[in-house]
Amino acid sequence: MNWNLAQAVFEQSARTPDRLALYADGIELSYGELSVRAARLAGALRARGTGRGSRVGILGSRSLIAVEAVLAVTWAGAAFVPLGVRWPQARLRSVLALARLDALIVDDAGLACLTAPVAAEAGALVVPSSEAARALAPAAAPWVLSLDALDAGAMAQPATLAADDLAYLVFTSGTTGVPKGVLVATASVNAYLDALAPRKAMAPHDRASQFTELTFDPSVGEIFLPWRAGASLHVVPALSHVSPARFIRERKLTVWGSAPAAIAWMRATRSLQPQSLPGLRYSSFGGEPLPLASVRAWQAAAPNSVVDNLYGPTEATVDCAGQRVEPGATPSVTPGRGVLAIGVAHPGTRLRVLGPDLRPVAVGEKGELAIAGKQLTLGYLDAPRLTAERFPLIDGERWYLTGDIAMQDARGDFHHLGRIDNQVKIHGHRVELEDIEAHVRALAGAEQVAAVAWPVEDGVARSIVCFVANAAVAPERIRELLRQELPPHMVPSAIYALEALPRNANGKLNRQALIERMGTHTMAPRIDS
Amino acid sequence: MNSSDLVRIRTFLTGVLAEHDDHAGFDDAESLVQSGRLDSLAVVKLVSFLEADFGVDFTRIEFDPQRFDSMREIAALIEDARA
Repeated sequence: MNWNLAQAVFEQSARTPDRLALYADGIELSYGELSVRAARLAGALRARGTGRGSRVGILGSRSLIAVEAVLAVTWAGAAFVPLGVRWPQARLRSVLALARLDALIVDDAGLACLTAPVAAEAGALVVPSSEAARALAPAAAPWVLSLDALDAGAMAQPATLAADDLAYLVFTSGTTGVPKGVLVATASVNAYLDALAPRKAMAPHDRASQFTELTFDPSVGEIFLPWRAGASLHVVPALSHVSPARFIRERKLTVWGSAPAAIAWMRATRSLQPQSLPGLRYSSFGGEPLPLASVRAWQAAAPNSVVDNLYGPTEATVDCAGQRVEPGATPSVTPGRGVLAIGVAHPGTRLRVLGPDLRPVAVGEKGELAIAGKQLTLGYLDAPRLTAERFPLIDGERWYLTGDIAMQDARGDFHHLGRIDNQVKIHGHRVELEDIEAHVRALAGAEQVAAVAWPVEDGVARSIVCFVANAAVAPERIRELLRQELPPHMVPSAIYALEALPRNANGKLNRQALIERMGTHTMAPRIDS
Repeated sequence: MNSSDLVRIRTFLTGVLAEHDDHAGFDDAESLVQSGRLDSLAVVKLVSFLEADFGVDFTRIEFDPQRFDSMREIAALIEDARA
């Protein structure tokens, strides 16, 4: 058996060469066209010694080139390594130094990031045009290939890979901000795709979104699941990101996936109207807790759609648990939190809530969520000690300790209660920031709430400050109400109303930006409390 | 649209860009969203600003991201909303 993820696309292209496979940058490609283009780039890479065992970076964002590159690198048998066009240069260089790439593919957005110091770390280069290649001529790259000048060679089949060959290497920032590379084998990705396929139940007539940046691993499922089913993939352009409602209608999408923040953005731009997305039949959200208020707004806008709340760390391949809510159904909600339960493990995965002694805690009790099963990744790049620490053997079996606080209820649903890193000690009391956020969310009638410890002096948090977006209740009134509900140490010293909360490119809340905002006096006047 | 309105929009956009350490300046026709200089969060802020300061009612006119891409398009959007 060939474990190469591109094998399914190759077989699909033989069955239905004329069917639509990909829409990006205003261009539609059939399975036949996509396969020819991917095989051609794969052939050029392999002719230059880049194949099984190699690592190829992709510095691009939501472009035809970036998505094709994922397929071409995979086709060649190499592992792809996504890099962010919005990363600061320092992060880009540190990730390149860690990744030790054999080649780097850039799209037009990536080209703008390719300063001389970045190019020096990148290895060989694949650029969009001959013109770009000429501009880069003095770079120290072993070779430079331009995508507009590839040889039209014979179509080669995807390279044969084994279960433990690397499919991709993706960098997460972790809480310290130091990038960690997670090594994901083809077997883990196939186990993940096998688990997710029945949830999405994609058919050839389905039209699915590709919303997530490649640097955020849900993109792997967004790209390969539709192609395994012979369905089509539609890359949401940057301009439509804040409010994809129009794109969903124009492209006649049936399958949607994004971070929950996309729902809040669409509501803020008044583009999530009741019945406005009747064509969707399946929508998944992941990467952050999914507020019940967001689900209700989505169910009203997309009344024919399943809502699937997916949970999982990169270390267990994208997502490994979920709660599937049928159209119109009432979801299971985490008590006191106003967010959806993360449901149950995907087939092939097991979840346990562990105490500090790594023994399971009783039903209803809090502990650290641990994961075992076929989706566990190989661990961290060049970090055997960290890998051994986070992936311990328990009773002879390999588990991953997520750093997430969770609880399993009597019905069997798992609930995500926060990050261990977001537990802070205030005046000697242990407090979960997510717990405070839940109270504020309920009282303020707001979806978007963030609590941060500030100021932190000598590692000790002095107080908690809270930010809300689009709150229906004034901040001072929220504090009054909180004082009636919570012990004094849990009441934020200040609550600030913002138009929206800072998020990274994938819609994940950026707590660090809020802390920095508190620390700079220049920002203070912009906060309207 | 009078020139003081344009100044207000420009001042607002300059402030949002400055929050991202973007001090490069921009002409009226320059792409700000498509080019990646304004992110989703910035567009949400812009929507709140247009609702509060210019009375644009987005429940009445459909939100079209294309119309937020440049100073010129934003000004035209406000004109249409007032008509």
